[in-house]
Amino acid sequence: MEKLKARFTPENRQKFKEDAQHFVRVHKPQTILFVIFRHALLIGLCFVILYPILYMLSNAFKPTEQFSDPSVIWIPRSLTLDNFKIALQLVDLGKVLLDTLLAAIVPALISTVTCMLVAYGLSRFNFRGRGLIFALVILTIIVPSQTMTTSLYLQYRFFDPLGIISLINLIPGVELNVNLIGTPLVTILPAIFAMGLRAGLYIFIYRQFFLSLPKELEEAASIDGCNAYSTFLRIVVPTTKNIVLTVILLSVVWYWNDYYTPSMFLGSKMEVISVTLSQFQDRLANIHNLGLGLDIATSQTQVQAMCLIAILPLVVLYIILQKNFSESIESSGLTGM
Amino acid sequence: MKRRSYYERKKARPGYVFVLPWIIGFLLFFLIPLVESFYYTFNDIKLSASGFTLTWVGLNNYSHLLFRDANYPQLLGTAVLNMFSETIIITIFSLLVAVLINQKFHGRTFYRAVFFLPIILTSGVVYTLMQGVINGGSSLGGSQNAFMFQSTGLQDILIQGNVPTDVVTFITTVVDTIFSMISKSGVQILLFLSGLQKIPASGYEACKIEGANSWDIFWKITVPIISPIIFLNIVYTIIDSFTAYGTTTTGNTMMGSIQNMGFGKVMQFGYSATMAWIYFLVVILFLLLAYWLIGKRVSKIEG
Repeated sequence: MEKLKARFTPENRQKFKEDAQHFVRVHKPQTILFVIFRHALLIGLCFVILYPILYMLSNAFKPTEQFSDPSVIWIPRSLTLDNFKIALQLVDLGKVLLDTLLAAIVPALISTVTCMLVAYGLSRFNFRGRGLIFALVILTIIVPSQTMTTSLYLQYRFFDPLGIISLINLIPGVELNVNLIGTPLVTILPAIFAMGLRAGLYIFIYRQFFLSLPKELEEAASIDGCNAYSTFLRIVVPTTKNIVLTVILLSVVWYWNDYYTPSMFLGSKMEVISVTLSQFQDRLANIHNLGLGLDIATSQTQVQAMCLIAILPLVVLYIILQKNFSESIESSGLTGM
Repeated sequence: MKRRSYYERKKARPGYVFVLPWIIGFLLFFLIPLVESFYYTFNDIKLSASGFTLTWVGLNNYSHLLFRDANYPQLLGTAVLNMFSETIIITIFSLLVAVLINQKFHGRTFYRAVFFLPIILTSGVVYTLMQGVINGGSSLGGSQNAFMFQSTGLQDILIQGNVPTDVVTFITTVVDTIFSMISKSGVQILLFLSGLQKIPASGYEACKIEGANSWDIFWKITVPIISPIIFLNIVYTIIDSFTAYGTTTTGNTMMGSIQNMGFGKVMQFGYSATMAWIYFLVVILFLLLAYWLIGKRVSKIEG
């Protein structure tokens, strides 16, 4: 304390003042530097993220011979749709889109609804075993799906829920063998029972949202004579717009991109977009070997065209839902804490 | 626990209705397959038209995998190493980005929109195709514009500048993997950002009045408050890294190999299930480790 008092002499005060002025003077450029640095860093990172899209756009419309032309780097000298034509010759886009709709979009939407119901049950009703069920929901996120693939495959191949089919087979003369492999039911059924792709994560997201929602509105509704179900439909559901759209976005994107489940359980009967895309290079190689005069090094433009076709719907969906997505991050408890 | 009144129990009853579908799904599509696949690890499975036959082989699958399989221990090692580097880099990187785009400045809406794009672009096959293009182009011959990052030039400069070899290797690894790291951190940035939104501005203001600088504020306010999210993100990244898409040669090779063993030409269901189960146990081990190292402290901070 003595020391501190000693420092507050008039001369020192003058020095402090100068120091403070100095600080203000140097602080401004620092801030300016920081702002420049921040933008430089963010623009650099954005470039890395946007690079694949720019690369796709640049190459998908480029005539193949310009791909290996060293004087053409980003902007093609002429534009062409040939790459898309070749891609569409190899891929039956109508069938692929229809199959993707059945095996990916439908379960994605169902999953959005069922996960919301489960999460509501878990966050608003204090029934016995609630804690255990939520712990098991987390467990379903942790276990890699590969652990269960073998038995799931056999289960779908010889479908027999709770022994019902075996019971029917006990009737003399009846030989029933239900095979779900290759039908969209292998993705739709789990979604109906809130066990679809990454369902645990959606239940978690919804639950955090419901926990952050004030209870008073629902209590008022219940005093007015609404039962739990109509309260949910009339009071709760209308408040969930942003979070539902967020989950729809995530769910559609992940189902659309999911390669594992379709390649395991859909076989070759259905052609979903992810599997088609992964086989596209092989198909290209095949026709090139058949003597169409192109070698694999120059097929990259067609691969990029196909990639562009595959991500275009997702990018459009993202642009449409982007506002709701950001809002739900800012306003609601996407993570809670 | 206090015995609940009749009214309370009656009020909780609709909860069962909401959760019932999940319970059925959990049994049908999770618990039964999980237990069955555990049983399969002790068996040899042969598929036929009318069903499948099991032959009990005891611990043979396990001992063969761990002691006689030439590839499996190596695959396991690769998966664990990848998980470590990914978790560390992605967690730090996504926290940095989230803090940056949480600040108020012009154009942040644009940056946010771009930083969430990887969630869309990179959760599948497109990512694997693009990664081939960006990190050197496996199927590309002699195209100069495909390479985005080339660390060879950087490496030369660093070695000439007498930088220790270990550091050079680390830096070049980071540069080589920067695309894959950024594209895997979309969800993590999302989680961090929504956590940062929860920190009241008044807390920051109070600190500034007390004279704390940004560095102190970051370590003494931001990090403790979002520590549950840090833990959540570490767990998410570990799971994501272990369960990513892959073939036998690219991406997550363990996943590719498990798939190939069961559903490729070999059709060794029992062996494939054993591979998956040992892998699963390793995943659980690391999640427990993460909880033991970080989760405990987080719950302490939360009080």
